[in-house]
Amino acid sequence: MALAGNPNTGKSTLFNALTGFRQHTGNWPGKTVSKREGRVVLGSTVCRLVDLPGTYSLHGTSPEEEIAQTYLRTSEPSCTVVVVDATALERNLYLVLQILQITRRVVVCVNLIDEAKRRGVAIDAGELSRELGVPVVLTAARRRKGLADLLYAVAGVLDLDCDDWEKCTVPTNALGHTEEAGICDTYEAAAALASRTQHRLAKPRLPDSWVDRVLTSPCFGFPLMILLLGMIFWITIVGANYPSQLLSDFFFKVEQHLELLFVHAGAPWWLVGFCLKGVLRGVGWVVSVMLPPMAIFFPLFTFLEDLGYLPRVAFNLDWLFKKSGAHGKQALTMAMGFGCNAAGVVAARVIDSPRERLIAILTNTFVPCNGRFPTLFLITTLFVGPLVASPFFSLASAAAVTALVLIGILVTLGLSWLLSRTLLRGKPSAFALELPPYRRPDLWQIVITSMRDRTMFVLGRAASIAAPAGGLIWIIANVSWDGEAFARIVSGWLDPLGHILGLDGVILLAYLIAFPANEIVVPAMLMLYTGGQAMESLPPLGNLRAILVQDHGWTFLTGLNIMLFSLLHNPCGTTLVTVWKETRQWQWTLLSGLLPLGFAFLFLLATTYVARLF
Amino acid sequence: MARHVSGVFPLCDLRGGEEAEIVRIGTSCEGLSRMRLLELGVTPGTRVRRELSNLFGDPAAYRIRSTLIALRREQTSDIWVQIPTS
Repeated sequence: MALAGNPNTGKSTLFNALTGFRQHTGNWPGKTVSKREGRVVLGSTVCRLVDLPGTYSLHGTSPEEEIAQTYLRTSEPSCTVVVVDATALERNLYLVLQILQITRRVVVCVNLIDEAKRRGVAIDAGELSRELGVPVVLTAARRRKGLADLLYAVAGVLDLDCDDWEKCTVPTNALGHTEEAGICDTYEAAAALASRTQHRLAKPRLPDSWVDRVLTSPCFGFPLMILLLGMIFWITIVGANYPSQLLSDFFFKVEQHLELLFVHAGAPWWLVGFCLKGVLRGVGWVVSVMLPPMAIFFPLFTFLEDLGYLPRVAFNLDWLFKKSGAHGKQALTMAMGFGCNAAGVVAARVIDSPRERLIAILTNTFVPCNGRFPTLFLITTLFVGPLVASPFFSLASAAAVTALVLIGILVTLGLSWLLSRTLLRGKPSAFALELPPYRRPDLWQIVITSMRDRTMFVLGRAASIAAPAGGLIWIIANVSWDGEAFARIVSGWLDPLGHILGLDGVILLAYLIAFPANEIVVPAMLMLYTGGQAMESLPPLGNLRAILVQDHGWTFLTGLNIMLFSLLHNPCGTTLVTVWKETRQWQWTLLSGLLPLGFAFLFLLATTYVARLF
Repeated sequence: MARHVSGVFPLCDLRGGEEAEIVRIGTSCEGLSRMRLLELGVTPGTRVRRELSNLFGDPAAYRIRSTLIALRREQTSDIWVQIPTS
């Protein structure tokens, strides 16, 4: 059984409603280009449900369309539910007519019927069913209306033989395939069918046009965008501070108790050190530094995504991307990068032109991913917040993070411009971007998808890397060579480079250790500084600043450069592997690592040079 | 209002809130991008309304068959429309 339909028809909502969250969705829902699967209980049988990517047609001009078409042709699902947006019937019927050319085992599900009603449109399901020759069901998936009818109709189709389907009055077989005239004819047929089967109850009212006029307006579009971003950061910073401290206290308590237990059992000192001061502390730091900001940031971001705001951002920014020779949808892949750069790199599949897709892949690392946001949040709270009076503390931190993100976007644009004039020369290709109507997001669904599929996924990955890394750090901090700890020797080698860049050797070493996952940069740094030695307690965030400034000579420049380095440096190992998988060419993979790294070095050299002039 | 008198003009010259009917897609738009436009429902006879323009006036969003679609000037300058008489 397959689920097909145009984008933004509520297909995913229907999918979730039917499968009841029993399946694990993709980690980054939204603009997925692959199909996902779930299970539906149909009476006494369990049915496999495949959610095909949303497409306007089946002619195979984009990867999504190809996936959908290939699946319908080769896997021959025993029933295809075509989800149709009741508010744009004629456009959606175009796809229905195309699918009917491939298979007749179809149930048409006219979704968003509540929204259509509000806009004064009623749809005659019986008439539509007679004309198409397949069952038609009216649903409002978000309110779970009509789902039973849908399952009933699907069961009916599953029971029937193929031969019963010769009743369609629309001559779909006569319609051309990829010829221009064929497309026009199919659309004409769809339009005629739509006008016969829908009735205007009232004067049609177009949705949310005033909201859009404000959000994309020449005067307010940009400021509102930046304000919204800043607000999300502010909420995250304010909300994450206290739980972070609680968590870190909790982990320290656990460590203390376990240490007593270990000592009591007669464990040797190195085992206690490796397990508790290495592995456990590494995991503890990662969880307490990352979990609270992610648990706040992800739902907020998912909310904006589900609301339909991201396409508006792409719309606002598109002109800038065009001038940089890049594709308009690069703004969307960039937005995905906020979650995870590897996901952003995969999302670049929505760009057809290989040239523009490479640009999107190579520059994706300049939007800070969730692994790096905690670093930015922590450093801004330590170094930017204290610059202003306490009531404005968190506001200043949020403004600083926003400014950094804007720098990242400017660098993205600049580098795209440079690439499209050197290595990846060419003209920007045509694109069309749908701006779907705003939909009130389903809060429950947001909590589930953002917590399970995003927060827990990222946290799990971070913790599984932090554990061995913590152990490794403890070892190199405690194994000595000629009376000097190994970590100190290596960071000593890196010190000269660190000094030129306005950092130090320990910070660079932390970045090296954190190569597999950027999430552990700050924990690695702190563990390297404290050398895995026993601490009275994990320092509260306020004292952290004192430790870094007094004991390790950090200045405002150090803080600034760490943030810039974190923003601009090479993507993490996972992302690089993803780049290789997506391009299958080592030179692009290498470039996607070296280009940002070189750029970060240049940037840091410049800030350090300027700062040391004064 | 010269464009209205001459009848057919490029879609990018349509003003905000105005509605027009598509006459044809010009010959400079071909291959994949032409197919794309057609599949989005930009076919002769379709009514189009310009609804949104951003800070730079490009791209602009048009209401085509009940869906709001943003198109760049490169494309809309070769989509020819006319103001319907009725």
